Amino acid sequence: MPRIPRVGIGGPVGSGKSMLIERFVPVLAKKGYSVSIISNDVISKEDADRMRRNLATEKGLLPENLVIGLATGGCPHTAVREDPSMNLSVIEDLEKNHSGLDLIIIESGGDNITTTFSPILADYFIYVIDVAGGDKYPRKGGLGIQNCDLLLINKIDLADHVGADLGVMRGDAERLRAEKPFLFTNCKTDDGIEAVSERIIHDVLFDAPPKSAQGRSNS
Amino acid sequence: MSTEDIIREIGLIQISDSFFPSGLYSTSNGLESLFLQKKISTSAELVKLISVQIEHQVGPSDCVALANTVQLAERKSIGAILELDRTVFAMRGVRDMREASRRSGVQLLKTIRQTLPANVVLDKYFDSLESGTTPGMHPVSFGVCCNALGIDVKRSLLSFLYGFTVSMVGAALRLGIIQHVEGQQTIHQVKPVIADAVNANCDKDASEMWQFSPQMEIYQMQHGLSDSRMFIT
Repeated sequence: MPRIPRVGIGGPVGSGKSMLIERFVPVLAKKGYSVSIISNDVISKEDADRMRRNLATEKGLLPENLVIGLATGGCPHTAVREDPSMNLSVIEDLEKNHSGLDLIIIESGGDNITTTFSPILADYFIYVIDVAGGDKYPRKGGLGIQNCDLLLINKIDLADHVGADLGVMRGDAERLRAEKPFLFTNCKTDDGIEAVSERIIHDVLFDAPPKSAQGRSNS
Repeated sequence: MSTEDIIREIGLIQISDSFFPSGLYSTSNGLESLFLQKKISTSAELVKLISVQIEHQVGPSDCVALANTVQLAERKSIGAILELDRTVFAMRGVRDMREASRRSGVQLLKTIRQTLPANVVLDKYFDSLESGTTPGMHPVSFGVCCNALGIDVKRSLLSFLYGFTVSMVGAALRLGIIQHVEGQQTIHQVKPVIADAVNANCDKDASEMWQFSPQMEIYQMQHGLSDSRMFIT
């Protein structure tokens, strides 16, 4: 079975992980990329149901059965790091039955700042924090913030309202992450979403065209 | 105790440990459904629930399948193991329980296969899984793995029932039904039930498999319909 590239998206409750997916998936779909989403929920199917309704049912960007909610026994961090077996099992089914997919997105819902993805599970790890948590957030560090492949500082429109200094957050992120990238995003206005999509296409898909386009060019 | 014996015992502990990656932490076997419907709220009720499930579901079906698998694996009877696997699959009436068992079984097998040296039965069973000719149900997969680890029938059953009990207690802890000391007390109180189930099911023929817990199965089915849940089952 061909391995389908996988992006893991983690971050605290309410940081905007699901909204981020709802924003960048249409960008990828417009470019012809076919994706599936696995949402590891803490306690409900709400995130998966919402993404399914918005991206599949209403926009028709992917089949409804390719947005999959996974209950994790209240331990989403366990499900993506120590024991990713249930996620791997779902991915194996996807790779077996949907080999035309370009990308699998694995959302780990409601995590703490120590979350990381097992490299067996995800090829690329995006960690999302939000400005509403205060401008101290990046310098608090933690495995997710420090080690992820791409750090997103989301909800930048709230900075003024919560007294967060984006300059401080930028400086701390640069210092803590050295050469590793980070981006400011606002999913309400799509600020930074194009850049996130480009990062995924470049860093995860290595700028390969969508499989559907490859099929056409080969025929 | 020889070094070989000690290594075998460590293998038993390894596969029984909740740290072993088989996804059991994400299952509650219907406990969450009972909790959400306010049918269970004390450690005494939890002990009763685990006991009933062992006596009427896990013991007479999974344990008999597991014991037979270990013996069949010893004789390298791969065809009979595959038939047993299909029987266990057919006996799982509740879709989510069936699917969770299959997923745990497959992932367990893959982990052990990547951990141990080559083993004929393990490899053939794995090939059948890969070709889609066998489902990979948890008790059968567990039996194949126990045989590869050199674990005998009774110890395999002990490990399986202990793992089931710990996953139920873990789920109860996370649901807030019990606290940490009560968790250990629950495990202690279930020990005689585990012992009886091991002795009652270790020598049974596969044709004697049964399970009968209709009310519990209804709760397990209702769990799949819940909008708000922590666990797969």
